[in-house]
Amino acid sequence: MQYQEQELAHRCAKGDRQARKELYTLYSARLYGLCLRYCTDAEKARDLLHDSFIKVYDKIGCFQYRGDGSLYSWMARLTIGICVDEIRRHSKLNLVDIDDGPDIADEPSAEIVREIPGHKIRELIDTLPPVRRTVFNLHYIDGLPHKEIAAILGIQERSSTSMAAKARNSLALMIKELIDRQDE
Amino acid sequence: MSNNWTDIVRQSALETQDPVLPADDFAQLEKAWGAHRRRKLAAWIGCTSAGAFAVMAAVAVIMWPKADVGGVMVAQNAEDSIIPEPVVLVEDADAGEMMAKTPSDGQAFIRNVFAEEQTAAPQDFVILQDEEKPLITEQAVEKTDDEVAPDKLENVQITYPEPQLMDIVTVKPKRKARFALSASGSISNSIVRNSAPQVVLAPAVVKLSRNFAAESSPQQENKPVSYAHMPLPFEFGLNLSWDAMDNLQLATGLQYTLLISNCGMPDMSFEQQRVHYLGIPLTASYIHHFGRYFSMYAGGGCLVEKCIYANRGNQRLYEKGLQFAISASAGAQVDIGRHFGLFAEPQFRYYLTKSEFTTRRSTSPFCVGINLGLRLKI
Repeated sequence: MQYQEQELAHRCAKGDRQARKELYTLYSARLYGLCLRYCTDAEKARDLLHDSFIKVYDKIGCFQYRGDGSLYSWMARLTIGICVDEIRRHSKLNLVDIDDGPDIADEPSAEIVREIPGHKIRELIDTLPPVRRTVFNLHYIDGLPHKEIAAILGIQERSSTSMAAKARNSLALMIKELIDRQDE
Repeated sequence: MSNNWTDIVRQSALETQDPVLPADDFAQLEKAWGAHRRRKLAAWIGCTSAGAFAVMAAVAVIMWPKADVGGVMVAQNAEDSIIPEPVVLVEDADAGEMMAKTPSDGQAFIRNVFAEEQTAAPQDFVILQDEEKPLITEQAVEKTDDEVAPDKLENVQITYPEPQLMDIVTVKPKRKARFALSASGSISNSIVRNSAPQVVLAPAVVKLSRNFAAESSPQQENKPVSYAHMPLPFEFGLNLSWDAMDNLQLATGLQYTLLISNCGMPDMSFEQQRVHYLGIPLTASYIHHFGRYFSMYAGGGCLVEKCIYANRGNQRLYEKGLQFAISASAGAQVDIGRHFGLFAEPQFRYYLTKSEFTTRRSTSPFCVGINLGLRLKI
């Protein structure tokens, strides 16, 4: 795997078209999913995917192997950066989250959430306001620490924590409402 | 298995099947990658050219010769002079000192003597002047080589049968032309197999602007061109060139280009497309003078162009971004009198960016043309 990732990156850096195609085949679907989580419009997400791959092709000479999956992690970081930049550029990311949102909601149990289909959960996440969706994606889905999120978004660490908590509460509330509707 | 509900959400979000990408997505990505690389190359060439131009300009400014270097005096050695060679004195008006130019080591001696006694002539040489017939006239200087720096006059030797001790004669060297304004017109042709005028079966699509699309019917968007007949493009330029060094000339200016395409539309209608570009060329040339009236030069540079207006029939077209090109040229100039010159300059140009319009350039990025013009030396 190490050889594969390093060799692939090396060949891409040398300008091998076949290697670029291989890289695209291996990672485009996952990165497209990532783009779709940040930008709900499919066409826009595809543009972002292309921008990400162009940046990857451009910078792949700088990639350093750090264990299995490090190539994807590196590509995902670049893609996240591009997605956040795009959201910020289109002013959808108003970093002042005025609405205090719901108070601490009753959190759903893991068993209940497990029964909800994946696409439904994705839909619920997509309905979050852009700022909360972005922070939720960054923290809970992509696993970035608040310190790093603060650096990416240019906000304070406690703001990131607060926004993530609000997003979590909002999602918990939406899940609860969904379950209530299903029960009725 | 995690019992945290957010972990389940994460797992579900990551495992959800995403919409499948179109089959031609990689081809489109490759196209975008190619365009990105071309833009990057163009930006690199543009920045490098601008940087080189700035460095050359800075060097030229530092090496800029003083406007009035001083006068030239010719002296003849006295009979008992210790200086065996003919002497030419050069006065540096700005520095207020005299420089004696001679092949021998007597320079310092002469300078010192002369500095001490400005009014008296040094003993080792005499300064010549004939009031009736000035010793150094413009003609006399021209006969030697008036266009070169005064220090090249060291072998001037003018003899008079009876030398007399005279006052200093100062002749200002003629100023060298440093700037030139040129106006030129040119025709260029893309290097393709077909000879001009050219007809292409063009599957190219001209993108209409959003503004226009809003005004026009939906069918008019992305209107394809079935074929195009393209006369030779015309260019007109006004340039300012600068003799930065003896053999180095830098030039920049404005260049207008008109590209006409007679487009046949799929519905058998016929529309003329006119695209107007305004560009800024930056060139550096090495010049070699063959005598007084003839010179040849060769150089290269870059060109940045912006579409300022384009229309097809009654429809306004738009092109985003800039067009970048690199060029190489060689030319010859014949001077007419002191201030004018006629030049002819064959030129090769390669366009690094592709135009969105169906024009002659879109058939091939490599163009050859010839500039013909008039140059006014200031």
